[in-house]
Amino acid sequence: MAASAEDHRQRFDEWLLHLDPFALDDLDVTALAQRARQDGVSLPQLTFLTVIAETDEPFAALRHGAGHAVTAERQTAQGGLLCTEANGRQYVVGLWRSSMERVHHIVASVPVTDNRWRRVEQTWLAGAAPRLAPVILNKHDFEDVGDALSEHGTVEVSRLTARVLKDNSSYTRGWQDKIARRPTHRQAMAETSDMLVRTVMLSVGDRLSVHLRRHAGATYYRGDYGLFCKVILRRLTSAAAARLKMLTGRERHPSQPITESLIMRLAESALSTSKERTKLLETVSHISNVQVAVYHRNPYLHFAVTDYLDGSNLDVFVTEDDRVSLLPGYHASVGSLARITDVIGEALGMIDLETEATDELIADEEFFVG
Amino acid sequence: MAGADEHRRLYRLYDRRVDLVSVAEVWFTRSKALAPYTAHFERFPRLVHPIDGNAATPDFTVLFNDDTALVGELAHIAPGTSAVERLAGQIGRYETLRAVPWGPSDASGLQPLSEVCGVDVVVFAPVSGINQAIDELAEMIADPEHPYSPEHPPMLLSYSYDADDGSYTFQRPARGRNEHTRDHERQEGLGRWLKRGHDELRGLPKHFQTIKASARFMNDEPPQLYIATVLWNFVLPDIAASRDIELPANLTITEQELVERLRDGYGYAASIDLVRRALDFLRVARLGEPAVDGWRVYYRNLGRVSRDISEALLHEHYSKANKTRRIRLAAPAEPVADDAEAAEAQRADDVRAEAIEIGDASLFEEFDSVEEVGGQPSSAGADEPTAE
Repeated sequence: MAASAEDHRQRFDEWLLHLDPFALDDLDVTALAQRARQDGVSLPQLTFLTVIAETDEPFAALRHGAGHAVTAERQTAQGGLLCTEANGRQYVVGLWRSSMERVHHIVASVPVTDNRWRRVEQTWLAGAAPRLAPVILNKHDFEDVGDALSEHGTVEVSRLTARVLKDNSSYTRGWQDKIARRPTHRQAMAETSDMLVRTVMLSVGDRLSVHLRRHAGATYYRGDYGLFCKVILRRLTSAAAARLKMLTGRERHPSQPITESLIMRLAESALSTSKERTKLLETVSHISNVQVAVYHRNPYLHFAVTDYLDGSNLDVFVTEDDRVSLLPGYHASVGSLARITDVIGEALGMIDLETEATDELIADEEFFVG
Repeated sequence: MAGADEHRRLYRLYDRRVDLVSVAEVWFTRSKALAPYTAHFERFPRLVHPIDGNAATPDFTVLFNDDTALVGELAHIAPGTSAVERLAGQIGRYETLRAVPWGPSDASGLQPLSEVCGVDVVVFAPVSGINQAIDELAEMIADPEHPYSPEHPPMLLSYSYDADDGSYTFQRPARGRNEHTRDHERQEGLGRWLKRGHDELRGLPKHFQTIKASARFMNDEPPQLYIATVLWNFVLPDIAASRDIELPANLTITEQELVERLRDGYGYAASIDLVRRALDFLRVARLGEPAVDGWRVYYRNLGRVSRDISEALLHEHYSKANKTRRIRLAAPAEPVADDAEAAEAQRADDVRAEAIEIGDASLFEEFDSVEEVGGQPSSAGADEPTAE
């Protein structure tokens, strides 16, 4: 009788947790498949979440977030492993450093839809915030991943989920390969011009099968793990590194004017009504450990945000229908900015986050009425 | 709850005034037309009048490259009162200023001054009552017996907020002696600019948002709720972060420290008295109390009371329930030996707290029976007065 996926998964976790200390220290996340194969262990599906760290001890932060759930742990040169238990079944959650400084991958063999992973992604990460913060991918990231994979074979999408921005409804599309040829990633994406893509399940011929998620996550199902690392992990890493760079050093400095702001670009008219602006306000004010203070509304909206996790603070302005301006205060950590921008971006359908100079002179026409 | 509503009204009015000064700052420092002629815009001028030796605190001053200046005042002119008479007395003094700031205050609070050879005065006033004010000022100027006799009359601009597009509109009513500013030898100035704009100008939040976030205040003293909110929103968490203190925390601060934070952070020279009143607001709200070494502020998330900080502060300020229980610390206090009475009180408070249903007070709701639960009872006695 063939081993079940759960047996397969448990065997891999057991192997990883008891790996020789020196071997574990030397083991890079991209070499997992090769090393497991050497020991006669096959790779199960692996769930990845890429996070940025505002701490020199990211494993300690994750350990803190996990709290009493941990039954065993191993700190390694690459990060560390936490063993935990749910419904009498053990599983291992690993923190692995990436090729970029302060960008790490949280990896486990449990499926992304499983409560065991949800506990990691929701409870543990909430406890590790703001020292560890996930990031979100935008449409370009999805397209770039598909483009890069298409150099290695025909990319076909079998399932795509999205959120329709205008009415917040969900959109799910699946393609059976028996009936018609599945679309390429570009073809599938073309159907989502007014949507926020949340997940894409795709394959590269017979070489690789993966699941990509907006929350800087991916699942390796089967196939060429090297290709998964080379294209997908690299893209997750670079997206996180770009976000890290954008959010680093955003604090104000005394006696210096604000010369740059963070701009979240949204779909046209995304904030054109008071209902949508109220939604923004309520979205932010319901982030855990966050409180807002409204200074002005109707219709230009100005509120300030205080993050009680580490005291970070920022001003938020909505003065145009398709953008949110974020002006970090004197204390604004990367982790706090990441979690706040991610929640806003997720609620309102962020197209992009960018910086904008605010010290340019303004033409007269902007001041004249009519 | 008239008291609470008055706090809210003053909060909104002050924020409006912060916006208006920020609009002026944009005009003079960021517009292609005027910025090249501006040497310094000061939103917190603290001057001593050269003739009477008394303080002069207009709402903003602009020093131009040609050694002239513009002094701005935000006025609320209530028709049928002596407000215009008082305004005349005020702006009459501004016109005779001999120097205005050319840079921000230094660490000691002193503003470097630059002598000027001519001063234009601009008054921003709400639309209602401005025509009457212009007419009354014209009558004063025409009256040789009246002490108000400016070398050049002030320019009054009405302001209004357009809720359809979220912008401010400024208009110069063409009546009485409401002439354009002289603009002296400059090729471009507010008066000439206004003429080109057919006597109307706009103030867009997208232009002034960075200025507003940078400065937060204008030259008038903020109302208690406004300053308390800024402290809770920005200053107190900044202090905790700079000391590497984890939140929630029982923060020990001094009034002087807050004065310096407000000055260094936002350029606003808050008085000790203002800071003390803000802290007293927190004291009544049971979120702080005087201590031997300054003040102890029990800094924590007030989100269970209201998602909005100013509303949560207001709620705590007016809450009758929190006046009858022991003050709640934000973090555990140092252990106190032989404090059985305190421990018993803590247990009683905990039981009481558990009995209170926690609601999720939505934004801007009126006060209800929502009570914050959590925190640690202080060893201090429950002897606070009821706020109302």
